[in-house]
Amino acid sequence: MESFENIKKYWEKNAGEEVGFIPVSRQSLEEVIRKKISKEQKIVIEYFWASFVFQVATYAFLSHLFIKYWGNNFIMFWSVAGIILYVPFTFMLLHKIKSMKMMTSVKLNSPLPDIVNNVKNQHRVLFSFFRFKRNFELFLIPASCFIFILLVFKLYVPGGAEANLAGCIVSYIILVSIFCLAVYAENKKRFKGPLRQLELILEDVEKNNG
Amino acid sequence: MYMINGDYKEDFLQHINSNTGIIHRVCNIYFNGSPEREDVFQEILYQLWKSYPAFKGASRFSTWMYRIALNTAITYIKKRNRTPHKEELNETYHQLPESAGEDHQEINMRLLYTAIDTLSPIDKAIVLLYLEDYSYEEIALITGLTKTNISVRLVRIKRKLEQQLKNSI
Repeated sequence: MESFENIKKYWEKNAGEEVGFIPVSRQSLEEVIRKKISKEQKIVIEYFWASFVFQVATYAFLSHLFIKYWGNNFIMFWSVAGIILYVPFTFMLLHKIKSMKMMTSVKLNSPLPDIVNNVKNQHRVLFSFFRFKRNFELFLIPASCFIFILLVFKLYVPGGAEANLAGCIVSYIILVSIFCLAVYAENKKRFKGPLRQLELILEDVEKNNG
Repeated sequence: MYMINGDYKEDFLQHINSNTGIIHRVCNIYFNGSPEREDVFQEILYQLWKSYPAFKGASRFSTWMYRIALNTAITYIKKRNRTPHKEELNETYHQLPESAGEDHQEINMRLLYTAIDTLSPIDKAIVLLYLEDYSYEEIALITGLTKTNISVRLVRIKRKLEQQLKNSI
């Protein structure tokens, strides 16, 4: 098989015979469709639990504090501040998740993309979501941890944050670090790894186009 | 939708089973010997099923199938956390188990797939379509590259594969 033309002839002769191709039966097709639909739904539910439910729990907690401590201006103010902080991000997050989900579904009336455009589209949508998520987290994590520590110290530590400044700062740093570690692991798995794979393909296209 | 008889599912199966080798070959090119191979096969089948209503018969069914199968396989690569395959064919060749029943033809096909596995994802698509006798124009349409680019890449791919296979024998 030294020359490529020999390889081609060899391929034409043997490629169709190398695996005893088993025809796809109606039953196995139905099984694959059922399995894949359930997998797609599982991915959506994972996203839902990972992002939306956390925010709903935050709303519930802050609303609870707002009602329970009605008349306490400090707690009412910071509870409302926490809710206001999360509302725009919840809407934006749901919108972005929807566009991510639409990327995987087939558009009936649009032409099939070629390989390079498909990779570019996937990179664009994934990168846009990742950039939004990263900016969202950069702002939201420190801000929400600050509000949470402030409220917890006010409610459960005598003297509140003012009387326990050192403890307050240490707790804040620990809480921010925990959030950052969790977010780093999630971003690496869901975004940085996949984006790098797509970038390698695009780099290959760019390098060989010049 | 392009249908040859009334039953949608039956039509789909008839089309797919006449071209099932395409899915196998795409899986072999991108996921040869990988545990993910079966999952990719099912994913391609599912994507074909979802896209089937949009198939109008404007192109050959096999061309349409290659387009979806290659896009699905390349999309699947992004889920992997390891870097693309860079191992040398020589090492792989010496690791191939020599089973008693395995004939020369089967070993050569495995060698060929292993040599192709050292190429980049785009080059794999190009060489597969070339081996399947697609014209430069059709390859350009499926991959989104220019005809000139395809031709330049093919020269390099051919040289690389010839060298890899020469070293392994």
